[in-house]
Amino acid sequence: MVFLSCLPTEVITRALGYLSSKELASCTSLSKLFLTIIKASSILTYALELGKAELNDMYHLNLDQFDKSSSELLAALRRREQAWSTFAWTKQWDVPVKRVYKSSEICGPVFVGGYSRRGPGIDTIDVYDFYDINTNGFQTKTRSRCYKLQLCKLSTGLEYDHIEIPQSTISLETFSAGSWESSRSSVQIFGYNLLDVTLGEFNDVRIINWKTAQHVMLFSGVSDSDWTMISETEVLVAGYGENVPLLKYYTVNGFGPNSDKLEENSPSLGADESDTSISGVDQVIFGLPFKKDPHGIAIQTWGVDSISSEVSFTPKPYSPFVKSTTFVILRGLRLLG
Amino acid sequence: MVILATSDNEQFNVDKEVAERSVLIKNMLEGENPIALAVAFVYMKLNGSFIRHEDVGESDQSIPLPNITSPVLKKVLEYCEHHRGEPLPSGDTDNADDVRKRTTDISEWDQKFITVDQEMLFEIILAANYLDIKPLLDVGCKTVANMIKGKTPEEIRKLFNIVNDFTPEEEAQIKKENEWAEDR
Repeated sequence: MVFLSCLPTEVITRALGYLSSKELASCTSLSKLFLTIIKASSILTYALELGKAELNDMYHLNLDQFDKSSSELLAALRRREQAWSTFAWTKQWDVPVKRVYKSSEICGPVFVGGYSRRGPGIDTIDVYDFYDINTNGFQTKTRSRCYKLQLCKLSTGLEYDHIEIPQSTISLETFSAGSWESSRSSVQIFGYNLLDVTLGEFNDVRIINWKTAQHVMLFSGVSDSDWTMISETEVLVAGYGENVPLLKYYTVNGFGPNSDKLEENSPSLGADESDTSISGVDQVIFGLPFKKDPHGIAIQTWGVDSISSEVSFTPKPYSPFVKSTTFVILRGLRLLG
Repeated sequence: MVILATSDNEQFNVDKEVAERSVLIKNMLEGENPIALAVAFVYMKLNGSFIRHEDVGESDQSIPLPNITSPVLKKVLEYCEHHRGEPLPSGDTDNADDVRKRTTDISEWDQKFITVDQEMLFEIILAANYLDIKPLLDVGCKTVANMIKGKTPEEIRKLFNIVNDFTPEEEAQIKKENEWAEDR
């Protein structure tokens, strides 16, 4: 008598390959043999863990994004899940911005708010889905306060919940001055929990469910004592949708006080303090390896094209980015639309 | 014509085109797989068969299939006969990643063909695997998958005579790991 268990392992693997994640999950509980077979196959394990990560439909994955071998996919998935798991949603983050910034520099901290202005007029500012962001006196000219971001809603099970920011909290006025206008960016929403499609278009940025966001960004504070603004803050989250106009990005190698080095094709960032302009890229967000990510992946700098090219930065001792906040971009699983 | 000899010493006269649905046989006939040939001979010796070297590779070819019984081969040949002339799948589609991309849809004829008892189903799968008939192997695997679909673990165990050899602790552990998969 021939039983299913008598079939060669590779044949059983093949058959199990036709099952959905949930069906695979039930198969792990059949017997030791089946558990072993599933765990031994990276593609089956991958399918299983995709389901666990609520990315049930693997056909949505853009396999071109990665090496197509299933073990790499699995590793990428695990990195992603591990990154997500480092979040403690109930925590409160401080993103201090202590210095006076040139108005152009608002491009930098913009991520804090996750807002942007739309259209050419000065009078419209749309605030999208902050999660109870308390800004205390976000001043145009002296952005000297600490924004407290409390992702409190995220602790409620990650369900989408729109919070309206009272106009009094962030007034239109607040944003209408200076070159904020010129720094109008299409990607100013590194932030916060862009949980659902209901956000719709946001200056060409389509935010999708954060769990399935194409790019996952982790922000963390810098612990370098010289950059004392934040020491070891927790991470903040943002998701990018598929239509984020990421026009340029650059790899940064060990960006820091002693190793400001951008790779080839990146904008010149003077090591000399007097040379403070970055040309060729309008907004730069620096990435540093995120400590909690053992793989240290995706240290990247992202440039956004639509900001005025006039913007210049002062990296030392003045750069808001480098000195206050670290952005770590974790490449998530890219999804097809 | 090709003569295929089963483990129970029955001989089947088969059109070369039909027999060559099996990559194994195709390679044998083309002499591309001397190892398979040699292995087959050893099997035959062990089985006390009497096919001599000269029997293979000549016009009156007899290919020993020591792993396959005549009822199963008959069934497999029925499949090959029906699908004769269809293009063979290219050789490098044989990986598990590939499997994931396909659906479990089975064509009407194949579905009817594969509606057999479990014993025969597994025999066919084994034969398809051995003979390297990828499309047939797929039909078999899909059928197994379809049998699993929509069933509880207990039902699957019952269906396939699988013994639950987990300790209660292990079972609890697995149940915990699979919490996400439970219907809510």
